[in-house]
Amino acid sequence: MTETASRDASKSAARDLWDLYDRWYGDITAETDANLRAVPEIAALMDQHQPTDEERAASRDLVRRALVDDEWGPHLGSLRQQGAMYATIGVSFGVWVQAIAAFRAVMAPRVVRELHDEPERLIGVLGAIDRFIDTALGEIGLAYLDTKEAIIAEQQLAIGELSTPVLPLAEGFLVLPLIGLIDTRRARDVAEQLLNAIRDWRARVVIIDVTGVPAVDTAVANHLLQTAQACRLMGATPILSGISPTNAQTLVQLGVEMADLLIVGDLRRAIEQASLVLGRELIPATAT
Amino acid sequence: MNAAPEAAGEPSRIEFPIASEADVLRARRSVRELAQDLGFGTTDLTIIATAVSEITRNIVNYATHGHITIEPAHDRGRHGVTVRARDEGPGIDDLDLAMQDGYSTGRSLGLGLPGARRLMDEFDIVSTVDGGTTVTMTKWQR
Amino acid sequence: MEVPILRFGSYLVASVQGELSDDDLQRLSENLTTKVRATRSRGVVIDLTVLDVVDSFATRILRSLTQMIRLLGAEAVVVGIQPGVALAMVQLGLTLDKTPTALDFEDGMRYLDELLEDQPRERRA
Repeated sequence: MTETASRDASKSAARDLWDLYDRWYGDITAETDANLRAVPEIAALMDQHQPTDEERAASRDLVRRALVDDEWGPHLGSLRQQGAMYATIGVSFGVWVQAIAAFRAVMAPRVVRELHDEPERLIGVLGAIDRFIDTALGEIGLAYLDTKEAIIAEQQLAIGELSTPVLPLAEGFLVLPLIGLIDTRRARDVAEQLLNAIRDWRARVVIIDVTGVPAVDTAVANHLLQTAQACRLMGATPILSGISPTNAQTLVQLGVEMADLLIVGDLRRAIEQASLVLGRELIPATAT
Repeated sequence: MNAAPEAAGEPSRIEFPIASEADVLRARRSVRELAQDLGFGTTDLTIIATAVSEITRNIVNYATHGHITIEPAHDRGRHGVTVRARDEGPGIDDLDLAMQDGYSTGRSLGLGLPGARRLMDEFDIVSTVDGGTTVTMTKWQR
Repeated sequence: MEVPILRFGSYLVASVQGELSDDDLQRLSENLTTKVRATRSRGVVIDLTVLDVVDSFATRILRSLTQMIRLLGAEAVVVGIQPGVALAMVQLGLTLDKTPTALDFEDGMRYLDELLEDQPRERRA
């Protein structure tokens, strides 16, 4: 097929898609909404941001202009607004992708039923659906990313009342000072708080300080190791500080696998390591 | 023996067969919902659902079909959830070997049983060759 | 279940929407292979934000996927592992081996930028 013929075929398939979409508009919208409501985060989103009838009609018209008149500008603009909105109200990336893809899940089976005896048209319309969705994902995605970056740049680190012992000391950087005896239950509670804090503060380095923990035996060491590994799964580098020489000996003798963990003697050294990882100064230079 | 009266509105037991991957997902969702109704926190919900995923996958992969029961648990004032997974599969020949913790030697991607045991508070397994395997595990609210 | 793969510059982002079966993995591998080659992508972000459970089966799948991406000459980074999921994984003893991780989509992209900014593009035959 020549390029011109292929472009014409695409435009014709797009118009075909519009005819079907227009004809089934009511059902499609109802079914898509119902499917989306099954996801709790999206249901909450839909409750908060119900489009008005005018808004629905306006966006439907933009889609028509794109598919029928091959006039994509306004529709793309509307998609970018959507992306910016998702970023602003805090929809997570995977969730909005799911919401957009829902259209395909609802349209495709109907199209197949309708055009099952016209294979060329069927292939054309399914291709048009794919192009339509891919365009939406792409435009929304770029706008989402740009807006997210802008929001994060604006956000202040508000150190409010923390119910956890996790201290956000600087951007991207948390310290968890552990004090006292650590049993399994406490270890799990602390780990959970720490991981939530990594997510909330976007920490890339975490210092776990055990200076205040009297006995670091195999059980505690295993908890520490697990916590450190969990931090890594969330993209944060763990640094263990405050292991006394005695405790270090115990660990080695017990054969605890600490190979992957950055271990330093004290908090100051830990902060130095952290600044290396983050690539910038975290403590003021001291006079030598 | 008088059974303790069920608390008003407490979720009741759920049971269904396990035969395919779709049932693994269903088991995860069901136990998550029931545990959430019982008041478990977010992290524990994930941990319980993961343990259920491991043992039901075991059934689908090795025994081809089985049965799962999910219900609230009570014991001297504490509350939790108990999951029982039964299958009529070939049974586990060497239970000790199967339950060996491959964790430290990095062989933990085999049977999900030792893993599930680490995630839950109580874990019991009974297995006979040609008699199938029953895993009973419980997580208590902290 | 279809995993959408989006392109952002020279990176691809695969947003895992839910449980991946063996068939899904097969399809995702094929789609990623095609797209990495076609777009000459230098990095792939695998986003697990929507997953509420990552068990030993899923971990095995993730490892194959990241291995394949590296064989294609691109970097892979896994993002979006939730706190509860991370805890369950480490208690199960599951690791992603050498695969780097980041907090989320944006950090994943930033990681790739930092990793690749010093590496000149290889000449491809």
